[in-house]
Amino acid sequence: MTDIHQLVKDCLKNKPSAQKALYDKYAPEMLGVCYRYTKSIADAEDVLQNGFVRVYSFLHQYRFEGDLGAWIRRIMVNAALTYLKKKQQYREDFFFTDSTELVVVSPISAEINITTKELAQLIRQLPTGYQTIFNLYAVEGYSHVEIGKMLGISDITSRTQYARARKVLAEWIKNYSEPQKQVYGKK
Amino acid sequence: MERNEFEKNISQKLDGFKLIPSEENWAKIEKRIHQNRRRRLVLWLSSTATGLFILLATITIVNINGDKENKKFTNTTTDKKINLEASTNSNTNNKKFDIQQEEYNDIEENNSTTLKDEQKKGNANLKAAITFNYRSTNNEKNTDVILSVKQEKTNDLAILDSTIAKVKYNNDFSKQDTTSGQMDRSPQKDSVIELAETNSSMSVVKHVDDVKMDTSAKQRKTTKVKTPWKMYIHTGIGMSVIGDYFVKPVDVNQRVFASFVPGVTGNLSSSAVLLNEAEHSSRTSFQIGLHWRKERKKSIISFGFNYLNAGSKVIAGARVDTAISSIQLRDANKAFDGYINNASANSNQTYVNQLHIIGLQVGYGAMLFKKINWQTNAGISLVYAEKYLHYISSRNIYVQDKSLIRPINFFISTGPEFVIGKKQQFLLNPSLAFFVQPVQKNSVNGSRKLMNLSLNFSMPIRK
Repeated sequence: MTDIHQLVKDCLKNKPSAQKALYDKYAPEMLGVCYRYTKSIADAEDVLQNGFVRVYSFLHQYRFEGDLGAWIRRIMVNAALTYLKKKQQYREDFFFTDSTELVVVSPISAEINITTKELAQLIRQLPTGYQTIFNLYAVEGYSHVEIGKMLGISDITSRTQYARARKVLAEWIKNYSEPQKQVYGKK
Repeated sequence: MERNEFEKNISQKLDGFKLIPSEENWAKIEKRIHQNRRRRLVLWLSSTATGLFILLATITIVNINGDKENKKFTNTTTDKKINLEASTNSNTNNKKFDIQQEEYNDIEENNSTTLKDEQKKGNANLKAAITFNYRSTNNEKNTDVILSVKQEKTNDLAILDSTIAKVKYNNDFSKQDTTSGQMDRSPQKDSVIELAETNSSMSVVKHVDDVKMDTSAKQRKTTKVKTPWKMYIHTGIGMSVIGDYFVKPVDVNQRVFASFVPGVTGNLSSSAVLLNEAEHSSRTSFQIGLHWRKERKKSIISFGFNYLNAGSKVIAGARVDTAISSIQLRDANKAFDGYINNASANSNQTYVNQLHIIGLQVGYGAMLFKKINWQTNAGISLVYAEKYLHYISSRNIYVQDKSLIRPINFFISTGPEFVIGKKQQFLLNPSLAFFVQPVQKNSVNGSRKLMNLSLNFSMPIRK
């Protein structure tokens, strides 16, 4: 922890060596996060760059409370959402129904017998809206209310979209051999 | 929706998911960090410049208003406030006259009725309190005399029925103002005041007996004589700070502490070199130039040209070996080639480039106090570097690159100016100059600032 403290302090002094060290330490993990929110590795790297520039800009706000990695991860997620909003991706292929009818989730097997990378790739094949909500809820652990606020949608919409994404993804995992042929619910 | 096993498994599975970013990713991030830093600097400077501009504008407006006010009082003899409170034997009602901001022209022409005349007519036992300010201006030299006269108690009173009154005093005006050479028009203590009426509609002028006055006068000189342009030669020494694109160390992880070293090259500007953690280099600077300045009421306008030599022919570096440090000084021209060959990971050697900057400038000075001004100059400059060096981190070398320097540049400088001497006015002016982006190459890492802090001395070469 002391090393991290020193590293942060050196970064705050704008020492290039410390900034590079911080990047080297967290970049691979954060690129994994960015990768799940984007459709291409180039986009993921763009998000990573934006995120790290924010990290260095706002590092003075880090209070040395909690894990630095988690703090950076939140910044990366926000950077990803900003990036997606700029590109308006999840507006195009994301239909925001305000239907109060919740989708009944069919029993889904909890077993995931694929590799991490394969799973990440499957998530990326979801439509951007589904992908974003799935990542925020299932992986990052945000509630639907929080997701609604972050994306500017109602929490019910978030629940609906998540349920559909979950169902589609579960089926893809089950039939991993041909995920592209699966049909997902887009009205 | 409760999280169940499916979500937990997904989360666990993706928790340790890592990907290796491409190599150029960090270079892009580093570049953007520097850009952000530069933006913040520009923002800070813009804010400072804006604040300074507002300050100068305020001072200018105040000056302009001051000029207008002086013009307003030209040919004006009496103004401000006259309060008269009176009671007479025949009329016990108090009368109060409050005349403010009235202007009267040419007091000399309105002396037909005096208090003495009124005294002779009787009408004694009047009490009065008269307070007024008197301001007279002399057209030639624009000398203001501000006079406060308080008439504490009188037996008689000049009652002015009209709302316009004029005051004249009858002392002999013979006292000379030793500083301005002008007549002192302020009445002396216990002199008799004559009240004169300028308005023909005035009906009654009562007289005053035994006027006791408490007078106080103070003079404010505002010379309006046109001042000529004066030519000054100025010279200064200082320290210039330049971004690390010139002085990128061989190994940025090596720290070089701040070190002052004596100059050995004989160059005037090479008296000291400061290295600060090998990221920025401060080097001595030297400047000389001519400027012309003209003093106004509360400000100074100027223009001129300036030659600034930022940097010296010195190569300096610090070798850090365990706890022992040593300083190396070499002639840059000789050391340049050798430097590339001798560069090693254990040494922090910095080539200090030499910049020649010729600038044309205009300036504005605000007279803050009697002997202190605040001078701000701005202008355009031509920048020439003897060695156009560009550090390539991947190859760990410097290369010459003539596209590095932006040949035409803009600058702004500001600082206090201390006036020394009475007849011959010498000027001492510590100033900070900021050059706007002297480097144009985008691929250059590091900030692109060039600042120069100097102490300048100006001497008039023509009265």
